[in-house]
Amino acid sequence: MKLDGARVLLTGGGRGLGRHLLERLVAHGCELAVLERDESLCDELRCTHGARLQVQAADLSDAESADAGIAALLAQGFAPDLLVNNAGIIHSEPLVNMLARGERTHGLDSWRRVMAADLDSVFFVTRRVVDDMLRRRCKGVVVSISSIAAAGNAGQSAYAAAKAGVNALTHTWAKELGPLGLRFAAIAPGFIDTPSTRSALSEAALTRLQQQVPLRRLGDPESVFLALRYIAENDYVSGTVLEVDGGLSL
Amino acid sequence: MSLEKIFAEVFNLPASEVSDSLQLEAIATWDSLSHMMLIGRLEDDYQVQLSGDEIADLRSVGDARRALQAHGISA
Repeated sequence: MKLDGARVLLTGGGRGLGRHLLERLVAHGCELAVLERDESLCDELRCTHGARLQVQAADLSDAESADAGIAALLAQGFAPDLLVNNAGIIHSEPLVNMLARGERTHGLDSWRRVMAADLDSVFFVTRRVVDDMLRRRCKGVVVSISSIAAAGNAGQSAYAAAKAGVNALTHTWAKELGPLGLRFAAIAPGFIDTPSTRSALSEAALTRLQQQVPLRRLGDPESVFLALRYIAENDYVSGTVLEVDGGLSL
Repeated sequence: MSLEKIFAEVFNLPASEVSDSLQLEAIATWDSLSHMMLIGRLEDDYQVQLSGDEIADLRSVGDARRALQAHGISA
């Protein structure tokens, strides 16, 4: 698949890494649709990009909302060749916070919120989009943004478990739907310099992490876009979890 | 290794800034995870097992020194 001019559905394109991917996909002439939870970001995207971009508000952690958002895009005639599952949240919380006074175990609400935003959403969106691809017999591509935290990261129980789930879905779908020509892959960034990374991690954690990265710096969002383009355009890549982490996972 | 050097290494501080009065709130790099690293270092270096209460109450260099002294360790 040539990325230039491709029809791309991007989830969570309003800010951070997703916004960078959105701008780069637009620059590559993609016909782009975005599912974004934040209504004000939806409005801002419409104002900024006008008719070049189809923007649909949806809470992808909720199956009904995800279904409605996708159905609205499909009803407008949008037929994606490439789905980019980017929407999600970063959350850091220890299993037991030994410094906390009172309740000190990982919250159930935060556990469920992260699993819904980072794992359920990928399942909810992909099942509908792949169903549409199969109806059209489109040999589409699904790229999900995972994380190197999927291998386990201290202080990120929910986030790590959700991203490990994303990797498992990627492998499963590559095996299940590869015979029909669909490809699935994930990108596992290390620590990319985005506002969400900086807000989710304490200064202490960022300092520790940068010392562990062989390249000794946070990654640039452009490195993730380059990985996305590589996966989209190389038609023998499927089932891969591509690490973009400056060597952190070594 | 001295208690001051352990704190300096765990929290990425100049050893000269570490004193008994140095508290958790004054160290930006002291969070729940680095707290676990500190406890691990103290237990390894001094061959001691701190109690759950000692771990939860340890919020300064002086607290660490007193906790070790309670186990008969002069740090």
